[in-house]
Amino acid sequence: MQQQVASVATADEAVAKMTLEEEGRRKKRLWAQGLLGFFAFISVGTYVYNEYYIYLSVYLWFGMIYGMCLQYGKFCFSSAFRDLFAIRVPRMLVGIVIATVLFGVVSAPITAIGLSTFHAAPVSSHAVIAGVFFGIGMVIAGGCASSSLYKTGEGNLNALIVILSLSLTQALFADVGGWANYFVPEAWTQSALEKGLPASINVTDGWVDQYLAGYVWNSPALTYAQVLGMKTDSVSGAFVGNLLVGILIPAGLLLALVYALYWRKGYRNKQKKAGNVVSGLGGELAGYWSMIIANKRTAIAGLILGIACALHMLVMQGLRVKFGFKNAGVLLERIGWDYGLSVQGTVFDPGYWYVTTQEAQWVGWTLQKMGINNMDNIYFGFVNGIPNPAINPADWMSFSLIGGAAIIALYHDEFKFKKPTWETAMWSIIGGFFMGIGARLGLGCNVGAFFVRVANGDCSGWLFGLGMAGGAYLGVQFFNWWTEKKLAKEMESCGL
Amino acid sequence: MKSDLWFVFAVTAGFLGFLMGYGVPPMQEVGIAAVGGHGGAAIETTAETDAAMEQFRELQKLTE
Repeated sequence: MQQQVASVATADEAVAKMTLEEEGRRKKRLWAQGLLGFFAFISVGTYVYNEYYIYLSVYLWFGMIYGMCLQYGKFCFSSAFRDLFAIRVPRMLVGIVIATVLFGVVSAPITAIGLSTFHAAPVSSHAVIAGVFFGIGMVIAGGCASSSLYKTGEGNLNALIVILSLSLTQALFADVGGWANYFVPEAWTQSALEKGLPASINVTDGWVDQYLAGYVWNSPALTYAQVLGMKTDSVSGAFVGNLLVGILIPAGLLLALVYALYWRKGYRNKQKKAGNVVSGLGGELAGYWSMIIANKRTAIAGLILGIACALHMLVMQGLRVKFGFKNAGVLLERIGWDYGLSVQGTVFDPGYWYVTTQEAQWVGWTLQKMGINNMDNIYFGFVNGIPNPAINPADWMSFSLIGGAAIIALYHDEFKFKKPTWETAMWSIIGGFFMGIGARLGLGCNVGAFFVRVANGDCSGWLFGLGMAGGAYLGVQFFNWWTEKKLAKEMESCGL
Repeated sequence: MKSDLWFVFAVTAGFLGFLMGYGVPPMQEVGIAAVGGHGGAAIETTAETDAAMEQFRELQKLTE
């Protein structure tokens, strides 16, 4: 009898727990729908107020797609390299390379017909050095620039700290002058002066200004098509130069290296245990293919990301034709928001997926409002401006990216506020700092300087990736050393 | 729950579809070449590109 009563009570408790869990999930779905409704309201409301706002809505809805894909595919460059170097698991890295290839396949036709909004970046060793800084930072922070955004959407407050640190570092680094000028080579200063920049930029005061105008701008901006003597926006240039030579062959070789070093042994052992014999080229190819399809989720997210990125460029170009401008600075001026435009009347308006510059602009705008002049440098004052974050086109993309990630996380019951500890907050700040330096040196992050550039045949993309891999390796080694040291200390204090 | 998620995708796709319908036809009107593309063999001159862009700017001024 007692046993029966106890089992009934347990069953009641289980039912109550399930009801509570179901209620929790229902609330999360309501929050997700509320977020969707909020973005829809912003889009419709601003469009009704002024047609020009539709340009910002394009960023908003594509940002939402990016956020959804990133969260679904757990698209994280930091995890990719950390898993590879720390525990020898290449799944995420393979998924990211496949996603990059798929983006390249979708971008090629857009480039071939000349509708790509992408511009190649200068190519030199600076991309590798920048990648090293960025790679170290993302491993220390536990997330790259893009994954920190989607993780913020999952309620991870450490990721939010990474974003804040990354943004602040970029804004301060872009403007640092005074004592930092002593570290500028004379040749950079002379070369920067010869560029004839407006007096308001004061190009001789600022390390990054002289680095950009005196060194980076002197390097050629090249695509693989141009290196092979083809026009980038031609069928041969886009498909043979950029896609085949610039993406498919290097990605295939990289994956072959990863297969040989990290996958082959485990695959062969698994097959041996199952009684299968792996021999010859056919066996190796089967193993290679098993590695390619190991992370379907990231690859599917990558395919959708690739299609979205290409469509994004197409729609942006269409609206620029419709409204008759080449940069959103003109649009902001027309709708009466002319504060924070650069000296050329421009704002940051990449026309495709980008992450770090709009984050730096949040801080740049805030500092400017606090009375700290941030418009006397090339980054903000001459190129990107510091418009109000509420009407900054690329900011609409970042906000909605967080929102899109939150919606998917809420639906999949993966949204949870994760409070930082003092230690994790410290790593987030330090990691964000290194990523901020790397992003400004490389003119972009893991998305802008690697993912988008590689997929569009920019020669600097793989260079940044090479540096990023080296930096991530150093970061992993540092963490191994730190963890061992910490463990030894704890064991010592326990008297073991 | 899954049907709810499809509702989210449907709304997102609806907005994206509208934006694409809004943004792509202007390019078709002026021709891909006029916005910097190379859709045809005889439409690569800068003068034609500029003329088409200028025409659009003038139209824009009239509607402002």
